[in-house]
Amino acid sequence: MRIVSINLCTDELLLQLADREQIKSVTWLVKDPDISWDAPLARGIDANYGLVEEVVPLEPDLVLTGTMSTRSAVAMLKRLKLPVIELPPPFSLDDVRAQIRIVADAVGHSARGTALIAQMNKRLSNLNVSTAGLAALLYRPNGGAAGVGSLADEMMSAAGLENRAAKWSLDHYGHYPLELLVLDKPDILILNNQYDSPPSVANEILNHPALNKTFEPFETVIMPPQAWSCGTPHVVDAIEILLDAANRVARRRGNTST
Amino acid sequence: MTTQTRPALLVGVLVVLIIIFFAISLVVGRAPLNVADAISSVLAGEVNVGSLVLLELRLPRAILGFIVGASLGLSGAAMQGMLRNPLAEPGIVGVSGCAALGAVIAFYSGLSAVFPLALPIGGIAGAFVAVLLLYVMAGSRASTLTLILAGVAINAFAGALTALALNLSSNPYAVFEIVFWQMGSLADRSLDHVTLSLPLMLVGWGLLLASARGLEALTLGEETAASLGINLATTRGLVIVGTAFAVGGSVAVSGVIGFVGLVVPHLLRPFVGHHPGKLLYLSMLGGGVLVLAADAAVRLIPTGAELKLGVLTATIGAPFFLLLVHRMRRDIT
Repeated sequence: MRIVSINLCTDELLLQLADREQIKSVTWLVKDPDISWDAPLARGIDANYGLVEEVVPLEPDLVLTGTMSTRSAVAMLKRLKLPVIELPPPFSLDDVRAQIRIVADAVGHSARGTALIAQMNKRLSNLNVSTAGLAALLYRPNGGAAGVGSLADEMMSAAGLENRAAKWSLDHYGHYPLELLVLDKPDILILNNQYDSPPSVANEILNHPALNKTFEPFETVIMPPQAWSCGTPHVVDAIEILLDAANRVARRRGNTST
Repeated sequence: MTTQTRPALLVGVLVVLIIIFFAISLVVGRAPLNVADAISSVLAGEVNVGSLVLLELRLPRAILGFIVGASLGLSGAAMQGMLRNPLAEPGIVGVSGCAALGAVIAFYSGLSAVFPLALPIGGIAGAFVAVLLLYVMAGSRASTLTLILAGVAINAFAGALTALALNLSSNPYAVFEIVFWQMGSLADRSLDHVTLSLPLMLVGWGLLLASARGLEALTLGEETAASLGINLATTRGLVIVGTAFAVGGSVAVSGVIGFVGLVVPHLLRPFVGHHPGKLLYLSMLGGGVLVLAADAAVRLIPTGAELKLGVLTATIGAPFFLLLVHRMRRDIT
């Protein structure tokens, strides 16, 4: 079987589930360790940039991609009668499990899929979620936040955190002006960009005086993009990072109150 | 008599409108905030959520709304006076676009992180190059066709280089921020942006208002103006450098907000007749009213993400522009 993936997230699932010989090509993104933790698995596999002309000569039996990317390429591949599986962005941990199963079945390794899901479930049930009453907020560059119904929202609950943005009916990821952040004052602010990364308006907002004055000793979590850009078992790592932050805050609060 | 009293009345009306929209700008926002409580907290020197939202987020937004609008309205009126062409406007002819390019280079290269003034200076440098280029290309009595075509070229070039500069940035979000630079927004700006840009805009306002007498004389023709003792080179210099400071300073903190400098002088011109000098200070106040009102509107219009300010001014301004072109058709061809 010859499989090609033209989307970062299907790359990750493919690398974790298929035999190496089955994989003919993955995107250049997954080969970058700053973007994906599965980069070591992709070493030695040909890279593509999501272009039809790269895919067709490989004569794949299966092409994997996401529903949100490379639309014109997918339309062309379908016209050429190539079997394409498109995975939508996951909105829950159940979606993640379902997508693992879809890819595992498609590449003929259903048992591996079952094992990967079992391993993910085991890690989740081993999480020692003890803290209660802490609130978090995922603040996205240029004024967005993760609301109810997003994967990030479920990840916060899995780490025992209340999503402070939940009350604003933001859908999955909605517009969230800075003044709401000042008002909501979460205990933990989750960011996916670094304060000291190259300049952008998004970063400038993180240094807004209103924020510095609001959160005197507040906990910031810089979430590595590898942990949750995709709905793969790596999301459990993201949940562990959130849990660590929650424990740090709880411990600090415990120390100051005694 | 009437031409003396009507502008005075108009100034009064505009000032009242500025006060009303400034107050609305402080009240309007997503956070449910009791403004009266927030004001008393600020006065009592307390730091709480209310005082922070009011002082650090809504106040800078309202101040920027006024000063950015005033800069754009004033520059539009001055450019129309200098080029003696009613279609001259910083956004349409590419001055704002070049200012954005200058600011983008200063900002994303990291220069403004170590030297904050680099941001407005970048904007001013970009705007200066554009006005100068425009003046060289279109001349002192700009034919509409030359002016607009030069503007199209300058705008396209500045837009392309801005996109290039953002693509070259190693920050993954930079590329999405082209929307901010080309469509303009005052969301989540801070008092730092006010202190950074206001002094430079004030310089621009001073220079532009000083050109009033020269622009008045220029309506009589260049020779008559010269015989009246007006130094035309000085007048043009004041407008070019003044526009660079006013537009460069505002675009550097707000992005490009188009058509303000077109719509405002046109709406106010009937009240002052052919007096480009008087039109300057009226357009300054009128620009402040328009941008303050538009910025309150983008916060009230229930779109998912907040509408960019330039989107709103363009939806008002572009049809207005087309109407003007339609009216001037014979003159152009």
